[in-house]
Amino acid sequence: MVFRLFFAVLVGFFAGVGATAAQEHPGLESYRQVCQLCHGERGRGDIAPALVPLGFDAEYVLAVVREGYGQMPPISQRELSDDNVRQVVGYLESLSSSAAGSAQTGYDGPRTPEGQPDLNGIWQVLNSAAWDIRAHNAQDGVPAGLGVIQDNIIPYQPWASTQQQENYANRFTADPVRRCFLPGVPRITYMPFPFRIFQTADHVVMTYEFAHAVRIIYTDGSDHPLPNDFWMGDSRGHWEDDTLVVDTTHFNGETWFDAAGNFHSNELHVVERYTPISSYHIEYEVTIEDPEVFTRPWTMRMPLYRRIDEGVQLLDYDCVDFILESANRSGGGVQ
Amino acid sequence: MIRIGLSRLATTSLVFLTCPLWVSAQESTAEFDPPRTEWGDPDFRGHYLPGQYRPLEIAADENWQPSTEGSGGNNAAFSRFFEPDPDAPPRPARLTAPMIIDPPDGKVPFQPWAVEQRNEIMVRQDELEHLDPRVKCLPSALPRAHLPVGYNTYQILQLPGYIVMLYEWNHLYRYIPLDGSPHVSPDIRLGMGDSRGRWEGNTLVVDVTNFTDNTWPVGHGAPPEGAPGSALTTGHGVFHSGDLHVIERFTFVDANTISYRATIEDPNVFTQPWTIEFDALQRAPDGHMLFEYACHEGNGRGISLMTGTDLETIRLGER
Repeated sequence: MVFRLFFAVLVGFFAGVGATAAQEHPGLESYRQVCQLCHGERGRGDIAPALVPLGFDAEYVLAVVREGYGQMPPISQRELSDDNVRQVVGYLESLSSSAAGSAQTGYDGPRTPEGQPDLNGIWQVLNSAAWDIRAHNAQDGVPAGLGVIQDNIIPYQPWASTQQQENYANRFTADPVRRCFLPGVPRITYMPFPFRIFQTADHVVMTYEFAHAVRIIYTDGSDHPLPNDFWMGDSRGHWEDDTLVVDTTHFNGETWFDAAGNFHSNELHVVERYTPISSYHIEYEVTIEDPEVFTRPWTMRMPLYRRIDEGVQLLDYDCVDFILESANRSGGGVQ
Repeated sequence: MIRIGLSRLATTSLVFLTCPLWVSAQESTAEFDPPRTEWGDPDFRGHYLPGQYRPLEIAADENWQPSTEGSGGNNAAFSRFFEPDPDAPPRPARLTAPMIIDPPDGKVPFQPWAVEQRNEIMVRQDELEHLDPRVKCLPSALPRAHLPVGYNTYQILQLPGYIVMLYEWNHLYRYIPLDGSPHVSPDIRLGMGDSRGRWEGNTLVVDVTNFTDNTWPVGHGAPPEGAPGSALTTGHGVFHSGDLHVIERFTFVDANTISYRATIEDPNVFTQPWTIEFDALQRAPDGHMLFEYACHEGNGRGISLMTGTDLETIRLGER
């Protein structure tokens, strides 16, 4: 139930994004409040059948709403007036008439032979989340930033808030990335380095310039393997309309979210959503769940920008090499 | 050095025990015509295991004998741990012919000074600067990534105009554009080099330049302890300059086996280009996947024991 509520919250949040770009449909609010929990975001279906495309007229829908149907309970006038029902029907019809996929963003770009949005290319963030995912002022070598977290709140449990402050105080020595350890997910996405998406029929491979990190994301319907722990977790993806949804678990709990000591445990569960919104932009949304450290799931969002520099390709940031050079310079035997 | 869980080891041994591919015929007379991708290129997609172990080279000094004294302890313990299992399937016959097919004597054509340099490198393996770059978790460079090295498997993906090779070894990867584009600027240095590919019939030909100068181009198996470079057959200690130029040829010899030929040029180190050839990639059983090979993350203790250097205290950008 907690899980489902979390999704309802998330879904409402996500649906709210579109509203800022386009005029919100008058039926959306009622749909979200009454129908969405069972029929899914945007009428896509969930525990109850999909309502897009809508094959019924408003009068039939009214009758079903009032009398119930199968598993569906009757819904009273108080919960949903007749006018509300007609607005919801209008909302569902508007979704049914818009082309599949373009409903979310209004963007309908190049597609792969399998019909998925083509995310192939080199991408990079333009923000300072790698230093601090929260709103923060500039420091020496650190650009200021508005933060990438919804509401700018990380819902730490009390002990974890204390731990984070300690991490922050010790960040120049305690940050695992300063020792050139793999940054984990989602930190690798918003490191200030480009990464390349290589998308085939059954894989989305993400290769990163930072430390030649790799994520092989299976989109073949397979599930996470037997428990194991990885710095970069185990990623399984699927498409929801034009959004690549990547579910990542099996973390080792030794990575941080940023250089400011924001952290998680090995119970971390990351759900990323990659939605192309133009030829040059992907809306990147990531939901963080970790019952050991946080009181509730929380969400980050930022655009990814396509790198279009002439001849752009991934180069090397092999920080192991820098560590070794540093050791050589200091004479080899620090011990 | 390698942070690998028990399940990884179990998976690896399972793969090797159940894989029936070793017995594939060495000689196939007619050229094998591989399946094609939807867009007409030879289809290299899939998961692969390394080929069978064989020596890289004929030792320049064939008279060197390992010491029979000292340090037998570890090996003895190792043998006890891996006592021969009477029920195990028979091992394939060991291949003894060297990978080097040119020059015909099977030896790395070092310039005289470079022979000395290799011996020096191997004598000083307890110093961080000279230690095997594989042990230091540096990139494998090429063709080393395709030699039969432990805990390395491969995944190849293709799109029109591109091939990607993913290596389990140290989560390395390389993109191979097939569009005729030139190499990146010579000022750019890359651990895996800069790869540009083309098709010659059914063969994928890849030209690789822009390497760094702190990797080894070859080296697999385990060199006997204390052996000078000139006594080795494993390629350890062979080094290169930034002018390393590798030309690779990948050719299917049957549906499950890719033959690999690499010509290695470096006028600063060798007297002539030299070429290795062997069956380097064997198709993996269904269900194979690449696991995370986090190398550097668990390496501090090993480096400390081997070289006395404490990498744990060194942090990037520390002030």
